[in-house]
Amino acid sequence: MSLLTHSIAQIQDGLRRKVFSAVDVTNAYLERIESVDATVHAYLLVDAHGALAQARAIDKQLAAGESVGPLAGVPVSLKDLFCTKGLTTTASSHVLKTYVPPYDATVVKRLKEAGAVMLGKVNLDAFAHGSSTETSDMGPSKHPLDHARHPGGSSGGSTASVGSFQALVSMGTETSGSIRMPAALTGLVGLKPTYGRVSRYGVIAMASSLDCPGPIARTVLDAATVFDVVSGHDPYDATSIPTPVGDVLHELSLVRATGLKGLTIGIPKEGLMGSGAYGSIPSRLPEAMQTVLQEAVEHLVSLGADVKEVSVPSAQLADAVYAVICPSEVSSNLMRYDGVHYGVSAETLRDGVALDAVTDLDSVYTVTRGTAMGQEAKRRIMTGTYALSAGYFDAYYKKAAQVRTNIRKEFDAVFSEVDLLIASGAPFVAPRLGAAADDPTYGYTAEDPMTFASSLAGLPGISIPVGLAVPSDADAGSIAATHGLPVGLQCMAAQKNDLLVLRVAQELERSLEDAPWRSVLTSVLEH
Amino acid sequence: MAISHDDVLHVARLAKLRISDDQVETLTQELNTIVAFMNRLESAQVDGVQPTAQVTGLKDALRADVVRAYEDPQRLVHMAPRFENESFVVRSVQA
Repeated sequence: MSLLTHSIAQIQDGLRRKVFSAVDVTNAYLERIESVDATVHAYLLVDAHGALAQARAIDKQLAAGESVGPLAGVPVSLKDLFCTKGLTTTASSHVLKTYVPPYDATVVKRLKEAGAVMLGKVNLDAFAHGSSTETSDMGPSKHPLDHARHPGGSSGGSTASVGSFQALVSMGTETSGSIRMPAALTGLVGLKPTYGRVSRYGVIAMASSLDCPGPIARTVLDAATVFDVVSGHDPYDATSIPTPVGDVLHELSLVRATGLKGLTIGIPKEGLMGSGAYGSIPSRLPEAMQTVLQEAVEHLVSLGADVKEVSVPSAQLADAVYAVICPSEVSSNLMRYDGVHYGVSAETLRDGVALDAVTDLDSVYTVTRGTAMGQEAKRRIMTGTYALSAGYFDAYYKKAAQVRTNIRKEFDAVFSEVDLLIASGAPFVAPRLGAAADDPTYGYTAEDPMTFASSLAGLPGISIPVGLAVPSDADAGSIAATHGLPVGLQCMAAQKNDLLVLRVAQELERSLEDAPWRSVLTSVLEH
Repeated sequence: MAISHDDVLHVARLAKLRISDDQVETLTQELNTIVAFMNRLESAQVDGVQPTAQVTGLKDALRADVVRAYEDPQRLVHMAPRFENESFVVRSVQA
């Protein structure tokens, strides 16, 4: 079991000192998947054969004294939104259930070159539309600490796999909150990089002006190590940022006696932690969560940071802006699933389809899409089509894009005043499965307003675990009742300041290193 | 309600989605809920504000105009439900 708790650095160290082999590590994870995933349902596809082949190749390189990459032998799970050459990539949708990509996403290519071992593909809300994995056409994933609850979403298979020790790290994606929120719910670290820092090439598109791949890990350093590998310019993504990322690992290896002295951290009034004045986190969060987040703020202060309240007024509308821009881009991106080029098609559908409905080209499109798209995909496509249609474009899409400009400018002003902003990683601890089944706006409300605002502005953000809070609906005797469920704090900074959010997250993580709740997160290994 | 059954059928046609009669009812209700949520934008002051489509300010990111052959073009075509040699086969626009 102990192999499963190793960090990336410990894996690297053990491999070099020949304490264990990459095959040992891979087998430990494959056995773990075998024993728990029937319950957790993180994986859609486990590639044991491919993973062991990658591990054997690493062991061979090490035995020959060759140098290996920074992720050599590190077992990784991939959200099933990343195209993997020769391995089915479904986006958790019936539309793509038979799709085998002819190429690797840039992220996948870079992970492989760094020596990572790909264990398989993990669950998500279908096409990443959702916040719980419950819109997955393959069924929901379960929260690692409480199987009656969900692990967040859309990158919920990623957090379920890492949180239940079925992967050391995972690659997720975020459009707004889909990395940070599930990480907060499962006690993990989730990094949403600056828009354009990590290539979108080969990532099944949701909302192209917002989509960001990023790592989910158990520690800030593990997340940073993966970020270091996958980030950087990619000529295959025209929105990829050409300037260098900076020396991530050097930045995090510096030991600063001064802690966070000299840094100013803002709590936006419009976020769920905002209030009026620092010192009294009020109202909109459950009280048990407020207490935990308040303690985290006190840790930041004791590390030397100045904390003050600031304002990003248009963030109040960020959820409404997102509810227009996201489905508008979705409706355009998902038009490619036409039943002609690849994926499921009315031409080959059999079950439940009156094939006499397929008569001309238009009916191939409409029957394919109408039959294979899930309810949430249909809702988003319809919403976006409506918002972009003649007569409504100015009132919705154009206006949302204008408010987006206001949000950006207000952030620019705030970042001349403070270095970082903080907010809740998620507005609740992990909800019960089914809690949001009847709410068509769940995907636009299940985040802190600052998550929507920061995504719309392309800012980097990270959520890290800061404690546990007992939910009001916990079952007697459950971990949720006896210990509580994870609470995440997120830090955001100006564009391209990914290293700053990592550094501050790492300082905060260090100050919480010996917190008693950490053992609750690893207790899942006992059952 | 702001959005009627006919609106939903019109949008479904634009979106190339065949939807059943009971879905029309469900989607009408759901779209009205979502549009009410979006309507909070009405309060925003945006006179003279330029819209944002690209947040990092990159413009015209072009790569060199060099032809590179794809290793296996047939493979791409052969993922289609209907194909012939190197071509997709589609039905006629009018039945």
